[in-house]
Amino acid sequence: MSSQANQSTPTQPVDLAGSLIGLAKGQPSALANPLLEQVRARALTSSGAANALKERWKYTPAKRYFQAMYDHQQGKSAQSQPAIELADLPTGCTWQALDNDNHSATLELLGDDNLWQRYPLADVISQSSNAGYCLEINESQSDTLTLKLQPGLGFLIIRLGANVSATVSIEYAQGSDFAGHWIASALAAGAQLNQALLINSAADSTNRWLLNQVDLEANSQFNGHVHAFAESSQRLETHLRLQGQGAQANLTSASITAKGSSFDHQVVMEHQAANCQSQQRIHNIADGGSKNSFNGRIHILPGAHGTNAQLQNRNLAIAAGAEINTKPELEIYNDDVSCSHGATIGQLDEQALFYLRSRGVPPAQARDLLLRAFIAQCYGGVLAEQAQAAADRLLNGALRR
Amino acid sequence: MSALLNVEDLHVNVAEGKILKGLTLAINPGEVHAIMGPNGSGKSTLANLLAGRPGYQVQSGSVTFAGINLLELEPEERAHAGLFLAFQYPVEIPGVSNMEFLKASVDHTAAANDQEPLSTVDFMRRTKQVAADLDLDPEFLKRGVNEGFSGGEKKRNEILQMLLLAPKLAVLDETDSGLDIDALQTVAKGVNSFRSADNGVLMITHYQRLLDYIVPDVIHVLADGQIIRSGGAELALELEEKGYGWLTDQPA
Ligand SMILES: Nc1ncnc2c1ncn2[C@@H]1O[C@H](COP(=O)(O)OP(=O)(O)OP(=O)(O)O)[C@@H](O)[C@H]1O
Ligand SMILES: [Mg+2]
Repeated sequence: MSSQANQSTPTQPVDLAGSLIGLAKGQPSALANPLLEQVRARALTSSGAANALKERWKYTPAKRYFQAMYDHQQGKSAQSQPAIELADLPTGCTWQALDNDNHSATLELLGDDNLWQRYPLADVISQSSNAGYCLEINESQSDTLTLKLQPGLGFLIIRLGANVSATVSIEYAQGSDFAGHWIASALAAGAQLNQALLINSAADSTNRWLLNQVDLEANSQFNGHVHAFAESSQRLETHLRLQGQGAQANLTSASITAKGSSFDHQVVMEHQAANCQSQQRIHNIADGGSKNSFNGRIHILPGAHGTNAQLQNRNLAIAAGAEINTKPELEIYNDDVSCSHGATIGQLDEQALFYLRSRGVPPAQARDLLLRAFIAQCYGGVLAEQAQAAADRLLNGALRR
Repeated sequence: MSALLNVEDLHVNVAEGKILKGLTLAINPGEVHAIMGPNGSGKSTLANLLAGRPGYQVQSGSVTFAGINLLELEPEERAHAGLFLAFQYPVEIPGVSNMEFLKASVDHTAAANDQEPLSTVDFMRRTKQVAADLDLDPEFLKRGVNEGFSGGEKKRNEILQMLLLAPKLAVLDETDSGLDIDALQTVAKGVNSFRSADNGVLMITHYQRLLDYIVPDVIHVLADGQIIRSGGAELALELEEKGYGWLTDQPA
């Protein structure tokens, strides 16, 4: 089952995915290099189809992203060291840079199904052994662990021990140029990870690309809160795998794209085990001349009996020329599931606007109240206040008229 | 004495249909008027038109409010001029807290009238007091506007707004519908406390019961887009007894 709602100005053809695919057909590409060759080959085999790859890259300026990634990988662009910073290392945790030996060993731990081969960013990072770290959290943490993502390529695996609970906040360093990061969190049985993410890019920064992977063992719980306020270009790939019985994943995501910017959020919620629950609430706002895309896939695999999966996605276009792409997709190989999956695209509620105006609130302020309320429904976790401040800056600045 | 509201020979279309067909009505300061009439006769149309809801086309006639042409004003300007409509179906606005909304409403209205805004502390105190008078738990002020409110709670929230904004004319569109007996008395008390020599009330209702608590000066019967009969309190009793057929079946 799949549905697509589309309200957009025509999109430009994307050439990188195209050129990856072009390469597959033996056509020359400006980006051709040996690494690209490998990535392409694997991306095509693991995803099974060129079309799937193309689909995932339909709304991101792929050529720019891939070029930046290769430049960093091959040392042509400055690489921050460390690529990911942890503010303080609390007791009960270890932080380790990955060298050649343990880099690949760590990758092995992520599973033998080579999930990352589906993701070109992960594929390239997995071959760049100098940018990786491993954070082990062996005791429950009452204070938030604060991560800062620096420019360049970075990889972090976060391992939560059995029944350990922790809260992690992730933000970007100020004014970074290209940043491509892969964060893979592995939750042992009964663990709980609260993760808050703020992607708040200024107009002058370039592309941000994050692969946020979470693997959940039995009865573990992930609470993720994404806040993305784009004045440039951002891509977020969220891949959640419910691998043990009774695991639970809750995701909220609030995004605003200002004029001239784009945000592309690709979510895969994979129900692999029985009696798992997932809930997603995704609210997006697109201003005129911006592009806000959301692709939410829910996979319910054979054996995932008693699954309960919910996804609610609402999108607001607040000016002419706003492009919103939303594509919820369901793949269910199982009868015994409860699943709801809905997406809407709209303008501000006219009834609500009139109600506010009839009480003396002028239209600009009424509109503002409604926008803030809409997006505030998806703030969450430890960055909720910062997210609100960041959204307010955008709403008071770029989106004010 | 010049009328607070003067509606003259008003013809209004909604979505191509003729709804109001020559409606005339005058309300003086200090008066309470009640409008009764069958379902679909145009009562809410009149109320919404006064508040400035988009989608209503005035074909002819005029509406003067406190000496100004009401039809030229934007909805918020009508509110600033002192017109208030308690909606038949108040909308829910999740995510906008009731308190934040009320403050915005009161502040913008004060500013438009060159008045000093109330300090936040004074505003909160006043709002909590009014809520208490209406038997509304102060928790309602923190919730989203009308979000998940029961029918009766929404109606009381409308009256709360009326009391805070202190308009010149309050139009109450079936504010009594959905209220239990106690809530009806509480709301009536609120409306009666609002009444003064300077302001007016236009109540739309289906029930004589409300008129026992808020005694109107004039009762009008609206049928098929026109006021077909006006009278004193005795008219409501007669309607209760005989139904609208008694009036509408008579040849014009
Ligand atoms: N937006 C609209 N589009 C089409 N018809 C409308 C619209 N709004 C109102 N009408 C029609 O106008 C007529 C008058 O409606 P109105 O709501 O004013 O009635 P009312 O007297 O308030 O009735 P009730 O007692 O049921 O509240 C009805 O026939 C209604 O269907
Ligand atoms: Mg009505």
